[in-house]
Amino acid sequence: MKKNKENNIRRFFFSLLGIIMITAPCLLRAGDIKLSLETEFTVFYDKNYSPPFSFQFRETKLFLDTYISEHSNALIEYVMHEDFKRAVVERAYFIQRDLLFNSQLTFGQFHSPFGYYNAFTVTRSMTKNVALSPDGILPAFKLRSVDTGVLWDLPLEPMSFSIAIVNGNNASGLRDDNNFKDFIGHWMYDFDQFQFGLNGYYGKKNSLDPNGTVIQYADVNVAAIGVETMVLFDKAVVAGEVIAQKYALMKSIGGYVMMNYDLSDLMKTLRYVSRFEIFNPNTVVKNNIRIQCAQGFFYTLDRGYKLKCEYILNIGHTKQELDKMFIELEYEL
Amino acid sequence: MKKQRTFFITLLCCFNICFVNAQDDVNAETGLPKTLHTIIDKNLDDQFAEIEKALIIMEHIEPRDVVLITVPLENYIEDVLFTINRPAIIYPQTMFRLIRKFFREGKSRDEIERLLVEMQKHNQIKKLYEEEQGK
Repeated sequence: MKKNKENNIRRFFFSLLGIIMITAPCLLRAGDIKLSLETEFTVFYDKNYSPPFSFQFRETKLFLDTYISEHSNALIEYVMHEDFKRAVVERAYFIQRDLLFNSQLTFGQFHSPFGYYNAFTVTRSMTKNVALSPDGILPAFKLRSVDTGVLWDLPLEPMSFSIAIVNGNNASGLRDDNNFKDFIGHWMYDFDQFQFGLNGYYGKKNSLDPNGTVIQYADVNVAAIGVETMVLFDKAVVAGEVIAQKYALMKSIGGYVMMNYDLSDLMKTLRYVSRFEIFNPNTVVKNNIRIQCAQGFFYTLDRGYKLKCEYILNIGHTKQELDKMFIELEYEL
Repeated sequence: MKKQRTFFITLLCCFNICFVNAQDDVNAETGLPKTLHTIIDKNLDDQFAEIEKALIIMEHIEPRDVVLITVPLENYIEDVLFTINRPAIIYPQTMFRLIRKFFREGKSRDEIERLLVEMQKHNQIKKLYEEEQGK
């Protein structure tokens, strides 16, 4: 175990050295390639795990943002999870802006444009992060994911449209073993202080036989629809989503409301965040409703330093999971 | 994993060979660009720090009055735009002129911080930028 950890750390530093060696000539030649590192150090309390109280590096992200011209950028995001045990290329894409009707085109591996990507809170919403896998045989599917393909964004103020065609592998990967391309659509109307949007996903997954090999041309439909809304108040931002998903015979439904409240009157740069969520991962199963409530405070200590504290309360069926708490220090280099 | 690593290194090499292009819209006096598109906290952070630095050097404003004055705006952009998966577009030259104007009008630090967030919420900084550009 210890040796494995040492190997992971060694591998991380060798990777880092390799990246620096490759990018160094670029960085010396031009000031328009920006390398940045974001580390999240967490004090974690969760009775579901052993040890329940631990210190860990939750995530370390390495960004390489390239300014190609006024109209184009390229980005690579390399993420190391859980004490560097797991590392993946999260995003790697090229953006071309100011095309026809001021639209923009993104090629590569990007975040799915279905609704909101993160919650205001440290912990992420169950509705988009719990992977659905009917019968445990079909490949897992979740809406908050990265995928490889093409994304077209069209802003027609006060509206905006996004359409993406992706592999549908729903994971970071180069090999496309899905014989159908998935479609994602997003429409949003901005009423200045109020935003309203609709989202849609349609795709097919290759089914797997019990030994895990892909049964080619045996596709299973996956579809999702969602409604999103955001309201801007003087001191607060309130946003929420409701999403229904269908994957083979499995149906799930869930929704959440989140808030970010400015407490700068109390203390400069202090914010209160909360999220309330109801999620049913499989509507066929009885008493399966999960309810979660997250409450927390974010405090900006200085440029690039943020302290986040959050308590997650599980209610209903999720009560089987015990409550947890995070104290996180986010540092940007 | 091995394939991913190969892909990552190949991409970096491509950047090395192809992409070097100086930023053409940087103001010679302040060193600030007209616009910045980003989805990275750190880039946003650096750009706001540059605006504050330019105000200290060009306008001789006391550092204690201006340092971290853009943090509430930055927090708002990160909390809202990045959370909902939208890139941030900021207008550094316009913001420099705007904050300078506020200081010249004798507005307090708290008031300037509040006004910047307010203006961002109502898209007024973008409108100001477009007016300046004659769009």
